[in-house]
Amino acid sequence: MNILEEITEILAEILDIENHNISPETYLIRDLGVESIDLLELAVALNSIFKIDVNDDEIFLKKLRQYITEAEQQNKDILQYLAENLPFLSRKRLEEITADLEEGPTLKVEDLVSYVERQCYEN
Amino acid sequence: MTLVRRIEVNTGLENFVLLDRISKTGAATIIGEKKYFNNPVYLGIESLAQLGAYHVRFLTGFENHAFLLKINRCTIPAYHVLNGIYLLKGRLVSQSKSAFCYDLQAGKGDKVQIEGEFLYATIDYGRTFNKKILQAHYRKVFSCLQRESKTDC
Repeated sequence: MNILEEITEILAEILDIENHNISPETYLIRDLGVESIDLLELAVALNSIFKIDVNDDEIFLKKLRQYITEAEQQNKDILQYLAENLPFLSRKRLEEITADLEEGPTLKVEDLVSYVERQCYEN
Repeated sequence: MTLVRRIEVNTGLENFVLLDRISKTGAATIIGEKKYFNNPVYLGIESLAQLGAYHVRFLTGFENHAFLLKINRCTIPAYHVLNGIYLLKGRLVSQSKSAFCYDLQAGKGDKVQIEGEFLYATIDYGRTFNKKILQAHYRKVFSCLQRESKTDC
């Protein structure tokens, strides 16, 4: 199984839903109704399966809005600042995220995949 | 007029700490023991929950509030009373920065009687969980449980 398939399996089991409801474009909180307890379960499952360090704040983009505020306060380029603090996300994805903030939590399955890929590569 | 209502909670226990001793603590393991006197099985589950929580606190240097989030699974003995000295073992199975998953078991002799997967989380101390009070309390209890003599605990 590849990383996306593994993450899909984990999410489907934690949320008790069918795999076909999950794609890279799926929003975890908006679409699947993921709650904080589910994220904690997901974090330890990712650690167990991929043998990677998992920083909950990073992988679940918990500090996204804080980073944007910090960039604004320091008159820094927001996308550049986000890229420095969330290096596993592509420039294209960061642009999508910043354009999508008003719609609610922006975390997608593809973001988890990107995080795991980066951590696996660094290991 | 101020109406003061006092709520008394009676757990039926002399002490909320359901561990007698922590004999070994490593990076991914913790071992303790508890003597039961015809106690119900749920107290054994509580002992295991406390053992795991102390290992989480140990790992995080007592800097965060640790709490049991979920028991993913737990097998209990058919005979629903615990009696005698039980060896309690915990093994850290997986973790993230703020979540910790343990395999915990309680056994008597060479027979495991309670075994389960327990998930813990940590959060920053704050207004609800006072750092000054709780950090000192948990450090003291952990230290006492590691000592042979409990005279000053």
